[in-house]
Amino acid sequence: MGSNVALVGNPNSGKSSVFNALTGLKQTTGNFPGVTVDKKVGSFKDSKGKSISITDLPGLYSLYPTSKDEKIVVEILSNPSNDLFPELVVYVADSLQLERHLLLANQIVDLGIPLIFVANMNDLAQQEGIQLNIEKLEKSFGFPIVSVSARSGNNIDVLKNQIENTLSTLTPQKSTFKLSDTDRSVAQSTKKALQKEDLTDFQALLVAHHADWLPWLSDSERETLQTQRKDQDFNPLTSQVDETMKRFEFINSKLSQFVTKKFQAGKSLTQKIDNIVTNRLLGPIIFFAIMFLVFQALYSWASYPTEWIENFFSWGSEKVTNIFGEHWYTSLISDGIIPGIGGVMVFVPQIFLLFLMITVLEEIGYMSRAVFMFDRILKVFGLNGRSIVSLISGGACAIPAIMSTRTISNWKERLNTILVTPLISCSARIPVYIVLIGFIVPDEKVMGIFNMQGVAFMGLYLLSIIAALVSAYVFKLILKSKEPSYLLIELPIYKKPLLKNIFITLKDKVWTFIWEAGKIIFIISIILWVIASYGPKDAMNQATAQANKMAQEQRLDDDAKDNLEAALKLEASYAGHLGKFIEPAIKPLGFDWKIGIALITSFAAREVFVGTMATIYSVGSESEMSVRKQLASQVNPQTGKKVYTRAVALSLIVFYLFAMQCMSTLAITKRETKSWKWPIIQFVYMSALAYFCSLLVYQLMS
Amino acid sequence: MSKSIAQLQVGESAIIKSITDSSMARSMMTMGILPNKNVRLVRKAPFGDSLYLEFDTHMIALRGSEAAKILIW
Repeated sequence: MGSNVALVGNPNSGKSSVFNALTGLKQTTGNFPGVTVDKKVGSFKDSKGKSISITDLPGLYSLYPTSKDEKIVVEILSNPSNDLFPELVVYVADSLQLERHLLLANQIVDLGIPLIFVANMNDLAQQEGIQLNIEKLEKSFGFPIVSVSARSGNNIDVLKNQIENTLSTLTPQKSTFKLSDTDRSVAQSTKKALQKEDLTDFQALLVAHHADWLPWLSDSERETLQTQRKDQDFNPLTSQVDETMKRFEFINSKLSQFVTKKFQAGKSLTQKIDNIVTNRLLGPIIFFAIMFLVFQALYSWASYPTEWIENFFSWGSEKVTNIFGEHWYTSLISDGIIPGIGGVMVFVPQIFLLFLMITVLEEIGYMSRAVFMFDRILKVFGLNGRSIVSLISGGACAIPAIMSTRTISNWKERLNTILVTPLISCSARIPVYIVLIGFIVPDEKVMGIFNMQGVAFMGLYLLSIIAALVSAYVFKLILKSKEPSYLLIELPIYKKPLLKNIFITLKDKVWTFIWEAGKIIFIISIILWVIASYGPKDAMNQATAQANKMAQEQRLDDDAKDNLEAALKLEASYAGHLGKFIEPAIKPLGFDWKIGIALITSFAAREVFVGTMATIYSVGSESEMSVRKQLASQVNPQTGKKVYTRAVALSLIVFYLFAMQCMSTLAITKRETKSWKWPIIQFVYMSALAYFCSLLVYQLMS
Repeated sequence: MSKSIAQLQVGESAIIKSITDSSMARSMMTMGILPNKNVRLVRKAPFGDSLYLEFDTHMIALRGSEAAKILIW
């Protein structure tokens, strides 16, 4: 066990940069016990080779938190019995904004936890001509100060030494700030009520402030504290406001003496950039241009690695069959397990690229500008400006997108964002669109430049965004909440993106996808393999016999015979029976039992549609174009008309656009909302939307 | 009736007097929106309502309804 060091700081203080600079790539991401807030732990070796482990706590402005992430920090710091209660806090602050960032540091000192104050971005401060009298500041605030630049790595080794030294001579931090008389008497009675005399005054006061929600209090303790609050006529909110004001007065009286010159935000380059980037007219244009470029780049760049991955996995399947021969377990590996893993991995290039762009935009500081610009519109639909990040991420994969809603402090807005994000067309829908779009618009150019199918693609994205907003509006009318809703967001100064930060964030997000989505896709792939490979014995034997007979009659070669047999066997399998079973329900949408099978198998991941169609129509190749060609040639034997008319294809596209066909997303919704209620609602409303829209489209068009 | 930040013209500066709503006040103060501080309305959001505010050392975006809680001298 290493030492328990916690990294704390305001949002935008460069805390993650300091964490990355201290620990390098030696990090693991997990969850705080009982809650789904990311916990990052890293370590570095001290001069004696001993490993010192550091926990990166979520960023917050004060110990009076609003969002879920921030509450975690207070939960840990208010309870010395918590496993994560630190021996030492390394506090990261922005040297350009010391006043603001000293507030939380000053509060933490009052908890009695030893603290090292890291004045980050000292290079920027130097450029601005800001000088700190470190010695005097250390004396005034009672903690050691290390001035560093996490970006350039300046003084990181000094910080490491300081951490080592402080850990070897741990002494409780002395408070420099005086609480008001009322606060102190509340603190005293809280200590008595909890029988925890060893708490510091401020720790006890925090418990009194947050008695309503602190999870480590027992019900009887909570009640006692609440009654006590009433008896003492103690208003937490006013006390918190007064305390904050007094702390700032204290901080300012010191800062004005020992810091020369203040940073002037108004004269910064950031505002010049924002004059253009958040301009009334140019702002939205630039935003949509960036999004257009991002998605354009996605399609042109991601297609190559995606193809390599596809080829790699089908090569693997083939190899396994060749080596082990035809057995049930060969089929399990080559038709179940390998495609199952492959089905997860094919999304990695696209998800990687989209998150790369989003992470860069976040790292630079652009995302908060997007939040500022679109808050007004999103508010109308019962969302928050912050929802924009989730909605964009939804274009890659709904799973990390839903996880990114944690920054929204209003529960109703957060829930609403979670519910509608899966409507945004994610990367799994693209292969389905590619197969079907050819039936709807010809592969031609309009006005010599725009590819018609490309335009139709854009239309599908637009439609998915509209569907998400309209659904959000409906949920806004249904969901009730008394919680206040905030925009209140910092617009940090623009920074050059730091490669290391981007790499680490990206690694986390892609891994989240592979793990969270992957495990469920994998399990479902195997279940689907079972129901698609097995069926009532008689029916399966008959399918083989019929395939042999037809092959002889039509003089098919071996490959064609195998494909035919696979198709007939699929029809005879349990999956085939299920497809036929649901046929009456989907007939009004224009779908037959074959499409029914594909709808069922799509529950693992939507793109399984393509593979299933390939098997049903014995295409032999799973490339989108050959599947499309085969679908186009299908003729209904009774009517002699084409099966895949424009109406059927459009109805099918609409179904895939809206339907909730992703078990992994439902699992994440369950985890984030901590209840089965919301994933069930999500499933029902999206399926209903898909069904009725498809019904409408098909009935109108045919 | 005192003026609030919501009534500022774009480009106009003022000095903050107080914040009326205490739960709002707490969140705002911890972000450095404090009495006696300078504030300047830099611009309004493209689709209206949200305000881009500049303080001495940093910038913050607020909704019109939030800005109405911040009174100025």
